[in-house]
Amino acid sequence: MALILVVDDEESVRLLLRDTLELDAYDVVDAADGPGALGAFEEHKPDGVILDIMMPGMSGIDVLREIRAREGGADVPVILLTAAGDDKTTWDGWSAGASCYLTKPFDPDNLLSWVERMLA
Amino acid sequence: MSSPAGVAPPIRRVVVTTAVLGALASAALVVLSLTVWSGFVPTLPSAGIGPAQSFVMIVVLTSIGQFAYVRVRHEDAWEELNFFEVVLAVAILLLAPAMALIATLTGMLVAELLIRRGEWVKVTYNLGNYAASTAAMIATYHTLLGIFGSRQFWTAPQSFASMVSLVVSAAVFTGINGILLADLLRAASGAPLLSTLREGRVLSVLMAISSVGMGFMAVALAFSAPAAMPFVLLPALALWYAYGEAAQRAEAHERNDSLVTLGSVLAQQASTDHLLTDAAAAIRLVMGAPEVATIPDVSATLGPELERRVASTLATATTPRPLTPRELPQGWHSGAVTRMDLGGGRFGAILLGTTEPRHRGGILRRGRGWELQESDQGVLGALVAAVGSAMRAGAAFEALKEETAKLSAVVNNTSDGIAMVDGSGAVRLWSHTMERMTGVSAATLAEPRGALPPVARSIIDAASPESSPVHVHLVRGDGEELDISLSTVRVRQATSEDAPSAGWARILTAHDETRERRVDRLKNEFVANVSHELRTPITPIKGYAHLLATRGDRITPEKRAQAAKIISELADRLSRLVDDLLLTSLKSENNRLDIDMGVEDVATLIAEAVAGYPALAARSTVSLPEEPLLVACDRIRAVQCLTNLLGNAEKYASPDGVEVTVREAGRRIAIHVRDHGPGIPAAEQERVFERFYRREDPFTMEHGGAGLGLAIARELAQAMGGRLWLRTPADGTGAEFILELLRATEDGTVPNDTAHTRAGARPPGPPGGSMGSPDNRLVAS
Repeated sequence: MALILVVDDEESVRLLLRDTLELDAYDVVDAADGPGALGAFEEHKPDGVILDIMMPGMSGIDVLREIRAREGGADVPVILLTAAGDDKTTWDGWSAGASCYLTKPFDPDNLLSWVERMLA
Repeated sequence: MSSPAGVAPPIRRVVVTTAVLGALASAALVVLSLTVWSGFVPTLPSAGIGPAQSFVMIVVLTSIGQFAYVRVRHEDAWEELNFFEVVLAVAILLLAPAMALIATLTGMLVAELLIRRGEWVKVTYNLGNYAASTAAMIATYHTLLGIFGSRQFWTAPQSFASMVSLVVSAAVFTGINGILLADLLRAASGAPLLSTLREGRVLSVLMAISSVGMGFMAVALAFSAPAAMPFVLLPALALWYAYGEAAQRAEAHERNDSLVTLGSVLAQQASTDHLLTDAAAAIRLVMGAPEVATIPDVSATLGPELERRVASTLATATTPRPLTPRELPQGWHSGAVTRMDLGGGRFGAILLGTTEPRHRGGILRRGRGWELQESDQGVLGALVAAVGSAMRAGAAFEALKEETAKLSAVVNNTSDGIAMVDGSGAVRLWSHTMERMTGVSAATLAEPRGALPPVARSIIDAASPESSPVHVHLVRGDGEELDISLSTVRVRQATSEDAPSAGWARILTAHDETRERRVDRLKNEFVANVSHELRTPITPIKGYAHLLATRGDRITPEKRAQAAKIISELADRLSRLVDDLLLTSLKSENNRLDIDMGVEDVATLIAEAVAGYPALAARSTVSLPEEPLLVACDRIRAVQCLTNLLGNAEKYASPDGVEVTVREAGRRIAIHVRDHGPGIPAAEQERVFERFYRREDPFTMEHGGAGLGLAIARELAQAMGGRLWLRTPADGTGAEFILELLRATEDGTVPNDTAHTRAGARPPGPPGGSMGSPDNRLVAS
């Protein structure tokens, strides 16, 4: 069963992501901030990552760059989530190596189809 | 000096002393003449003339001698050279001592009376002086001749003795005459007696002796070879002519000096204030007139009588002309007037003249008195025209100064900073507004370009007429950030001595956009924040709603309940945010809030607000008063105000909870909300109440929020007559917000008498006094 790392500073969003993914039979680990996400990434070696961009301290894009630079992190699918849909953030996300880019609020079915496609 | 009454006391004293001295000396000589020198016999080779004729001749000659004189400038004084000494020498040789004295003094008196009609002080002084000097000379001559042993002087040795005696006595005459004159000068102008004497001594003595010598020769020739008389007149005339030439040269020299002075006066015409007076004084010297009067602007004033009298004829006068008797200023005897054109139909006048009677011209041309000579008309006209030009230039300069001052006031006081940079890059203008905006003073910029402060350098380098306006972002010397919009235009610059290479100058206009840009930035951040704040709760609401709808059957009841709770809490959060936004937009539109004032118990308000934050309340201490404390407020607004304070605390200081206490403060009730968060530096304690203000960059921010909560809370507090402020607690940690509301009584009135209010109220307990008490601890599930 695939393991997904969910990173968001907002607890309700983490819960939603976890419930959505678990209902579709994924395993979920979560983290509330950048350093937590990197720790969980090292510990659990997830099959995919769902990453919020706008987080305190370390932004999702920074976390993504860090993951891409790590051993085994270059090919991990990473879905970026953000409330801000402006061009610069989008560009930064793609150039940092995002596999997919979703804006909040997202459709859980849409999210699941992207996760499925990426893990295939 | 028309009457003794108008004479200064020191001068009067000298005149009286001199007159008394003259009288005493004369009396002494008369006595000596009748006793010691009674045997005087003028021994003449061919005595064709008796003593009586001689007496009359001396009187007439002395009188004529007084009229014929030459003024010779000597150092700073004028020597007046006349025939008195010549005639005196003749008198001494021909007449008995007393007769010689009386004859010369009589001749002098006649001349003086003719010359100085009414000027008794001058007449008295001159007579006194000459009586004393002459008596001394005659006495000296006869004494010396007596010592030489004979009164028979006409034989060769005697004539030699007579000659020597005459020379020595002439020196005595000059000495006494000079001392008395110097004494008068000392009294009149304070000039030291000795220095006056020293200045004049050589010339005076030589002149006196040569005059006496001429007298001697004249007498000798007249009685031995009358036919040779005309020949003695030739050197005499030559001498007079030489004196006259010297006098004119000296005068011309002085005139040149005065012209130089006048030139410098006209050149330094920075102000018209002193120009006319200075120029008039210089013209007076050039023209040698004793008196001068100026009329600055005939057409402007026409006030004093003199100006009215002169103005009528002046309008048509183009060249200098003599003044008519009607036009003469008070006390003047003669004079001339010259029109001074001031431009624009305005004109002034310069008047030259004298107070001395005009008919007293000497035998030679330049005598006493002053009249405008025909030959001087051209010079005077040109000089006055030059003064007029200078006056016009001065007036134009004054007008220019005034215009410049106006312009400079405008430049310095417009809200935009204005600067001018010349072609060489030197800053020619840096307005006051520019100084304030940039923190760089104009004085600093006067230094060479290398020393330009970075801020000024950035502005000047950015100023380009091709790409105008440009936006410049700067950091001032004091660390303040500055956004300016810089417009630049190029202007042709007049080349000046200071900047010969400058061809084009740039004029910079700096509009301070710092505030506008900051507001812009805050608004952008606000939009980003609001967008984030709205989307964040909507994501789980929408997501869970979708999950419940599509997969409800596969979700456990616990999970379903959790989903419902999350949806409900987030909906509350959205609702509060929307309230805040609405309130803000209302406030920004009509700038006032609708407040429905009532009376509420503080405890109710606090409880209601705390209930909105159950998680925070669980970690917090709320101390409520034991008895009701009534405040005047709009209940909904007051609760919202407290809610915003608690929301702020939850956002920034959540882990340690807050302490809520109530204190009585005179006619106000204060609700303290103290947190244990990171605190707010003193410098930012007011800014946190600004709308859209957030202490963080929105993209790395740790906490959500639109930056409205505290701004709204303060506006609400003020709308209810209360206030909201912030302080750092005494122990230096966290922050303490204090909401003060007006105290009210049961019937809804707001008492304004502090003492009255206190009577019915219990004193406030210490803030931590009730902490931990179960009754006061509000713990939400």
